[in-house]
Formats: sequence, C-alpha cells, structure tokens
Amino acid sequence: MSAVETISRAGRGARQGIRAFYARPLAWVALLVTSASLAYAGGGVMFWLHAIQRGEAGPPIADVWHWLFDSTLGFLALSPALFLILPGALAAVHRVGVQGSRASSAVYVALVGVVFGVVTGPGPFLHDVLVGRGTPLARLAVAVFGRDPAVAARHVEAHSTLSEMALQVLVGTPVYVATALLSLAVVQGWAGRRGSGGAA
Amino acid sequence: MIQKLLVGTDTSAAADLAVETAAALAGAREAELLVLYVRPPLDAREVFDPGKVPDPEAYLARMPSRFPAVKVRTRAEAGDPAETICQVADEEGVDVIVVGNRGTHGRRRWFLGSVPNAVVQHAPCSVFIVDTRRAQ
Repeated sequence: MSAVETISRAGRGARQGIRAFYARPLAWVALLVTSASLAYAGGGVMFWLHAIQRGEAGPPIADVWHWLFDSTLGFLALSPALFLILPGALAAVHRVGVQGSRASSAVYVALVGVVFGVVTGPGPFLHDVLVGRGTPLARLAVAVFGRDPAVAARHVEAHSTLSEMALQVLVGTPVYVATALLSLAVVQGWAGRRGSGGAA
Repeated sequence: MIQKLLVGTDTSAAADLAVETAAALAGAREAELLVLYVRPPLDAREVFDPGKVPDPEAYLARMPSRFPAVKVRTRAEAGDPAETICQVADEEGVDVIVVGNRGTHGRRRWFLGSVPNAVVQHAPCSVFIVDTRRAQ
C-alpha cells in the first residue's frame, strides 16, 4: 500500500470515527460541558497562577473580568481542538485495549487532560501577543470592562516565554485532568438523570 | 424474486421497527432474513453513559424466538454502518436491504450525514426504507 493510500485510509477512518462519535447528542453535550469546564474552571486556576501569582502582563481590568475575558477567548479558540480531542481520546482507549468502564473512563480523562495541557502550552505566548498589555484586544477589553486602577498599579513581572509555557504544561496538565474528570462526572450525571426520566 | 433480505440495526427502538418490518416482509415471501448489527467505530456512550451501551449478542440471540416463522440469521460487524451494510449485502448476495429512515431529514442529516441515505447511494441491490419516526 502506498503512503498516499495509507494516509487517505487513515483520514477516512478518522472522519468515520468522528462522525460516529458525534452521532449521539450526548457527545455534543460532553463537548460543551468539557469545553466550558476546561476553559472557565481549569482556565480560572491557570489565570490565578499566571496573572495573580506570577504577575504577568495583561489588560488593566478587574481580575474577574480578566478571567472571564481570557476564559471566553480560550473557550472559543480551544473548542475546535476539543472537538477532535474527545473522539481521539476514546479511539486511543480502544487502541490501548482498556477493559471495563471505570478503567476506560480513567484513561479517557487522563488523555483528554494531558493532550489539552500540551495544546494549551503556547497559551502564555499567544496571550502576550494577542491580549498582552497595549495590544488592540487589551485596549478593547479596557474600553468594554473599564480600567481598574488597582490592577493597573500592580507590579508586572517579566518572565521568559519559554518558562511560562513550560509552567503552563506542567501545572496545567494535572489541573486539566482534574477538570476533565469533573466534566465527565457532570455528563454522566446528566445522562443518568435523562435515562431515569428526569427533566434533562 | 426476493429470496434474501438484510436489515441493518443498532439495536435502538427505531431500528427495531425496521427489523420487525423486514421480518414481516421476509415471512410474507418465505425469504431468508439476515439481521446485521454494525458496531460503530466510536460510541460516546462508552464513557459518558456506559449503562446504555447496547448488548448486540443478546439482542441478536433473541431474533429466532421473536420471529419463529422466518428463517433468520444474524451477524455482528464493526465499522462504518452504511459502508458495512452495503459490503455485507454484496458478500451475502441479498436481494433487498431494509433500513430505518432515522437521520434522513432535519439537522441530523446536515451535521452527521445519514446511514439510510448513504446505503441508498451505495447499495448493490434494492433498498426498502421503513418509516421509524414513531420510535424516534
């Protein structure tokens, strides 16, 4: 089989897998819940680390708006990646040959969290480029949410982009694994209530 | 002359209506009925709702007792449902494929494509579409 045929077959298999995964509304609920949890809850922890603890530069707006702004951008930018990560993680569970629903769920959650942690690695760099202090998006955020004098007066620490990216992956990965576990519990709870005739 | 029918199922209530219709057609024509379960490549229920993952073996094992007047055979395969249905139909030399109409209209068709539509396009034989809306 030629390389072109192999790639074409793999691409067709991936398309079929993604289509089969999203054939159930449950998968779309899972995508929404996981994406929102990772962006807003996981993103909240990472915001606290980067903006509050490490004092990285961002728009001089109130912390709660800054978190909401960054998390919403993350939600929009990373949902397409999660669209592929969720079925990809389940396909990997199949490939590894994990038996039993608990073990499958554990491996699935770990894969989603680890891959998402790696995908968000360039986040600090992109944050500085796109919404770092003085950028057009940061000015827009200040115009929309208003300038917070306390935040504007806060000392901004300079860190190397590489160290921030490494920190993002090292700290982000366990945070995202925990958040993926939380979102799995939420989706399983929703599915269980729906199955037992609940309002959902 | 219809001697062999194939009905595709995912064990859902809607697909079961198609199975019942196929059994009635096979019984009326004294034809053989092949009930084919196709396990999709990925099923989101495996992680999000493991209790709802179908048990195709038990479902297929009940077929002879459900339709005692029909000569029934069963098969379980893994793969893309439409592609596998057409492939097995070709392999088995069936005369008619029976499928439910789930996903032939509305949003599902645009987002996900439709198994019956794909079967109609690629089938090596005639296709009978059963209206399964009352079970959807």
